[in-house]
Amino acid sequence: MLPARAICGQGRPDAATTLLMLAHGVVCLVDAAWHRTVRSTGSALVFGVALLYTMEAWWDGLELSLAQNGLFLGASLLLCLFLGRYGFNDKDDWRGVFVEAGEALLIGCVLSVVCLLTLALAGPGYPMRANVGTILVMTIPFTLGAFLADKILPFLGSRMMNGNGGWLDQTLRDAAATIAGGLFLGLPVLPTDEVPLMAIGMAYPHQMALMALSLLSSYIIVFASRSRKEPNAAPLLGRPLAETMFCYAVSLLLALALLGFVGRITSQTPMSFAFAQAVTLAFPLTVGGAAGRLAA
Amino acid sequence: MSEAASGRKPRDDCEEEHGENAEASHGRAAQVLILVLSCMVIATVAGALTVERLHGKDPAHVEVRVVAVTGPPWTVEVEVHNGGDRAAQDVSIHAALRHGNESVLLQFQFLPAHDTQRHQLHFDGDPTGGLIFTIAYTGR
Repeated sequence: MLPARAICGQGRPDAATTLLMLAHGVVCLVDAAWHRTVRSTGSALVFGVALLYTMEAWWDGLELSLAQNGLFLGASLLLCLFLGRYGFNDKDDWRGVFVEAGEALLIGCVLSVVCLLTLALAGPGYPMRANVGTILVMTIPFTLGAFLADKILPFLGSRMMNGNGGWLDQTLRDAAATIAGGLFLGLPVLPTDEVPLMAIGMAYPHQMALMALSLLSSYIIVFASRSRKEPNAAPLLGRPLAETMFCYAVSLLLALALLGFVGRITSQTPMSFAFAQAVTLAFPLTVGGAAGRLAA
Repeated sequence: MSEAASGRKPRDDCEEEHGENAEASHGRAAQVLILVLSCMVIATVAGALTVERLHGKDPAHVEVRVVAVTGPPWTVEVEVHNGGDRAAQDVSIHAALRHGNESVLLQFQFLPAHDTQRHQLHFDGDPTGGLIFTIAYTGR
């Protein structure tokens, strides 16, 4: 992208230069908005993924009336506004807070739909009222997470790949951070019935979509949500691809090991069911692992 | 700064540069190796699920078999087996005495494909006269 200085000529700009400057401004705005959206999405995933693996939250979506669910969502939006004005973000103007809360709500809603469809917790097989209720319930944590992106991601750290240590050191560091972060989010989910239940509910397209979503989430949280000003914002086909694939593979192996450890996978378990459970558990492990790598 | 003043010889610089290049080359090779190994792990999982998708097409098929009857107090141990290639979900087994009005409801959330589980049913009446099982479940 050309800096504004470069396209500004000396003296009064002509029509072409003005158009170029306008286009540059629009591109900058879109770029900044896109970056903010991606960053909020990463934060929302870290904040909200645990609730996706809570059966009671699905039931709330089914059992509570739409008015109750809407009320909860409204309350969470009010909480966002309150936090934005007087809490963490501490903005001076209400307009900015409203815009941020609106963006967070939109991101939370889209993320809720994507995750629920991928995990087969919503979709054409469910009644419309149940779909809407579950989406509303899951939108709440994602909205809060997206709204608090500026607080959550800096808290986790601003990861820099400074190249200290050899490749083995870096690889082991990535693996350790992935395991530690993954356990932080994945352990509370592990002993519950949700993982096998979700694994059974997912058909083949859901399983493949979940693998893709896990990889994408990991990339978004660690790489895409970083500020452009931070050093080593490496391109996709470089180290980030290798690291994202590596950490997802670690999460899958960790999921298999943990499921075996708690007896969810035994020698009697059919291989496909074992792998389906591993893919299901690997999603929170990957999100946690990505957050762990940010914090490391 | 001249070479003499810096105290370094051109050959040292060359060796250092060569060392850095070799290290970078090793790093790249290791990165490719890690990427390949990671892809293999992911592909194995995805491949197994794909094979299951292509070959395992029988829907869930749940059967109940009485293993043992003890009592009184009467306990019937049953074996629940899913002979299908798909997992059974929301399994509900209603066991009623053939002679008498007593019945027991056994419910569990899932039974994986080709899996077998054992459960115990408790009755006040004598179940040796026979049991009638009604099985309900969903399975893809």
